[in-house]
Amino acid sequence: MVNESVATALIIAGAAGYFASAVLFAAKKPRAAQPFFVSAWTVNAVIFIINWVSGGHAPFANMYHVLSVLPLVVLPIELFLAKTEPGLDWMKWAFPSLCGISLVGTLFMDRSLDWSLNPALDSPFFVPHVISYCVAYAMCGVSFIMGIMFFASWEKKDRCLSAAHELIRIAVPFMTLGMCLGAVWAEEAWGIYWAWDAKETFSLVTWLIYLGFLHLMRTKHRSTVANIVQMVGFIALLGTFFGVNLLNSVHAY
Amino acid sequence: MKTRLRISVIAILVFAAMMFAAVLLAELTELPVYDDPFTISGLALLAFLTVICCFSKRWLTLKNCGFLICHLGLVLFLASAFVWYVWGSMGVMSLYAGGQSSRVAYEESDDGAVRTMEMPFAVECSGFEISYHPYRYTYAVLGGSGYEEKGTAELTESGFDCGRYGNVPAECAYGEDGSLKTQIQYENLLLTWDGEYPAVKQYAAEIAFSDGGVETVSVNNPAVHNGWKIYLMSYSAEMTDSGMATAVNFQVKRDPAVGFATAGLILCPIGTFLLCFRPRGRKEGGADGE
Repeated sequence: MVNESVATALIIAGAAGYFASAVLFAAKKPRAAQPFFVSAWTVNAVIFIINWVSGGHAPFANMYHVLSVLPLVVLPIELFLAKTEPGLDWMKWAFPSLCGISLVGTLFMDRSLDWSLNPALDSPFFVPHVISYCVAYAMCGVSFIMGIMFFASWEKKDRCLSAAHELIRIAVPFMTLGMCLGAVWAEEAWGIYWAWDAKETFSLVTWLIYLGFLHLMRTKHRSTVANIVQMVGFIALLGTFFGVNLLNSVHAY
Repeated sequence: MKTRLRISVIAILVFAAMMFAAVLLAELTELPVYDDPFTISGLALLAFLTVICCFSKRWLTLKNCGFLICHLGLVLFLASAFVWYVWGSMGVMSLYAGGQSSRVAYEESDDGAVRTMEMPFAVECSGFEISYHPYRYTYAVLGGSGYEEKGTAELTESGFDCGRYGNVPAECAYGEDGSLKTQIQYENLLLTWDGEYPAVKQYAAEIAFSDGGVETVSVNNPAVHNGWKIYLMSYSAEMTDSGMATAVNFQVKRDPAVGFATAGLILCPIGTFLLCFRPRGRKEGGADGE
């Protein structure tokens, strides 16, 4: 059993590693940055394992769990993009930044490790549904950072928008998969694919906005309007992730 | 081509805005805003545009496969929702252990009356079981300055596992009358139960069909019988003539479009992956008008 102070120390160490990596990437020192990123990711993986062992089930069931899993999906994607999209190397600093922000967020959540899994979550769809959304949300988070850079003019606008486009092209299939898995799961649990629950509807709004962005990127309006749409999509995503807990929803956790 | 793309963008974003307004309206007014004419019209428009997209590709190349599959999946899912709305049936049934019924309540009218329908077979609830998560105690270890809290441990058949601080046998948890102790002192450990009862882990009902067959249903594991699907929804303790009894609540459904829905939900993500992850040998978007 690991007590809360150890968990807090690991979170702070992990977040510090991610931010150090982000600073080094931004300073164009990728050789120094990557080991920090991998080390922080390893610490993050230890937090994940502790949560799994302590809870006795896959740790995807509350906000603390999900925020500590979210950074874990980022490093594999960063490595994937390094292979497939070498043109995106310049914005690598955004990946560990998002991981650090996410891990710092866990410090503000209820970090109770003895969380009982309710019967509805005892399903084979639970883990792939959450992981799909984690991948999508992580990519949307990085694309939002690109959106801020677009307006802040720290980089060329075209470059920022293209990076956001590439990231959202990864996010949307995973978001679609997560939504479809959720629908199949709901049918197995309650007999209905879609219940118009507040979180479901918010996730539909988020998905539609990102679909709108992808369609928009195929027209000539590939500039400020498209960037605004993807940034609004991320605000809707935050509504889905955090805001809906304030509403009357079976998905509030 | 470009006009249709622009219309699609506008339709998608307008529908997203409508849904955003609907979720807030539903929250504030508790009105059934999702089956009002505006929402249905929006869905119909999206379905129409998606159908047009399905026929927009002249040649079935590998490049176009993802595009076609994801749009086709969406159309199939929306079509299944329509078929379900028109020809499907769904209702609830409440049974006590040993009780049997073929009647399903499926609609409550404005005056509070419940309409019922008959299934072609009766369902008997022949058993019901609830399992709980284990009791959880906080353990503290005796040190120089008294007891110091170290963590929590679950009560299992073998007792409490307090990690490197040792184990506590299960029999220490019970008093002489068999009730759980709120505090347990064992060697240098002090275990305390906060009085909170453990949450339900799972519940399951055994159901027997009048035309033969027995199945166990639990949350996430419905039973399928002669085209009907039976879900275990909830349970409640109720007072009956013979004392307290557990009423087990089932949802019963017959969905003629389940194949379409499943196909749609499989095709849509597959198509989206193919579309978004296809090799990018040329510069995307712009005026290619796809």
